[in-house]
Amino acid sequence: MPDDSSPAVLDPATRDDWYVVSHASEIQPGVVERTRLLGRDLLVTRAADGTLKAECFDPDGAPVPVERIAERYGFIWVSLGAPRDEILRIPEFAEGGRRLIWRGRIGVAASGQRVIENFFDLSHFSFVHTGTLGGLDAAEVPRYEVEYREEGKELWAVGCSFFQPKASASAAGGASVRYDYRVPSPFICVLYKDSLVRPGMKDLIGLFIQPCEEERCVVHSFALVFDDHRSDTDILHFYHEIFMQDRMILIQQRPLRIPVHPQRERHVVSDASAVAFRRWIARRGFRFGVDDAAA
Amino acid sequence: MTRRPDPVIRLHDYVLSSEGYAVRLLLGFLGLAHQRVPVDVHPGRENRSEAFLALNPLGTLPVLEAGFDEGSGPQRIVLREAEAILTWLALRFDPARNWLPESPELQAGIAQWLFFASRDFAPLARLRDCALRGIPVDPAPFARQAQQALSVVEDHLCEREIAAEAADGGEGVWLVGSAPTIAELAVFPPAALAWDAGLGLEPYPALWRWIRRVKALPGFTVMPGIYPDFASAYAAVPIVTSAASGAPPASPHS
Repeated sequence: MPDDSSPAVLDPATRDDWYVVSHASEIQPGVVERTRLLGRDLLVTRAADGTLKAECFDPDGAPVPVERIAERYGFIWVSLGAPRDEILRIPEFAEGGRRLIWRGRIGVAASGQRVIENFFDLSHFSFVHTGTLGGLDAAEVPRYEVEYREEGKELWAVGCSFFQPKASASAAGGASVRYDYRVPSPFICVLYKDSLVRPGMKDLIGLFIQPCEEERCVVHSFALVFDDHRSDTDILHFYHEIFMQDRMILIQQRPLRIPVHPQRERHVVSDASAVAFRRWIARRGFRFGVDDAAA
Repeated sequence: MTRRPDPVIRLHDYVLSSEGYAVRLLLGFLGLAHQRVPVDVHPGRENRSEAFLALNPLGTLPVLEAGFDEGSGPQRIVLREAEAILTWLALRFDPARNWLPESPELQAGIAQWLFFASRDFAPLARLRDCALRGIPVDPAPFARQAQQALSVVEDHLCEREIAAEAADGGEGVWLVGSAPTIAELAVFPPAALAWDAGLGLEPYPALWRWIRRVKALPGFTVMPGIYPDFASAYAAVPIVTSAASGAPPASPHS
């Protein structure tokens, strides 16, 4: 069972980050969305003129003003602190041609960073997504590169590739697919994947994680893809199928928080991105949802 | 005699629906061709749309629509509730009556488990639904009821194992009778998906063994959250050693 106790004081790195707490369409004027963020109660409302407002309450019940709330990419973003950076830029949202599919929310009883780590992990494809994202007879993870970009504020795993029997809802057969993963925050990952129907172009799939508690999160996500044939529901259900296979693994992983101490791990080459992710989280001072014990 | 046209079966379904999975299992076991109509339950709430409510005023999934001809002209049937759909499919398309035997005692026993699956697993279904969508609820009351229901299945299977042990060593224990029936298909999805709701099945060893028996049935299909029996899934995979891994890797210190 997840540990729902939350820290009385948040580490500055976590506090000052931006988090998605809802899809914009879910907060109509007059709706009061009651949710949890970083172990705190959060109320999100929208006035008749469309203005958004959020109120947060500390674990002891004291109200905390929320000054940062914004609508971007169809989602509602909140920061409980004073973010030094803007919400991440995803220029592809302004380009034409792709379909935007809101994939709903899925709850996971594990830390949000565990979900992100699973999202960019390639070696589980053949065993967890057998027949779609991987096959038992082609499980090898080819080498890829890990890079820090934007002065170390973003982690990228680039040049990833994998042979996939059915890489997306629109895939007709198997293909070796190229991936780049962008991790601009421990709770956000955007995947850039070769479009199967538009050569040279990329499909985007993004996870925006709402860390409710240290060991419980809600995954908000989108797909921004080239696909002229499949219905939104077909595409959506393909993703739900894939994500629910991951969820089964995530809720059974221990520890539920992300372990960052080097003595806790025994990695192989294909884990390069996970190793970098854990070091990066520890180095930047994120503590929420982190397990930093040595043993 | 002219050949009767094949029945047209359309299943309105959501890939994460436990009740839909019960029907998909039987369609798989019977090898019945069918059309899947995906319904955007979440986040689209398509099951509350006017078009869907015209098909099923309760807005629940799955819904089975079928057109068939038994010689007296085309007929059409629209059914909701997985238990009703399982019953109809078994009566209509399983002439050997393996899945829903003729015996009055077996039929009544099966009906008992069909009611149980829909009523006593409702709290577990609700808990799973909240867990999947991240809806905050106090899980304790639901979990207690869910565990009671799982214990009922566990105790029943355990008693039957003990009784069977004397006869044939405990193999082939099913909920009703001596072979799998639609009772299995109604009870298996909510029980095997309990992990989705955060409930582990460790306290229910007889249930575990029964889950493995269901997974080993020819024609078994998985759904997200339910994995195949890996021992048999991996048995068919050849071990491939790439040329590069034949030689030992160079030591970084050499």
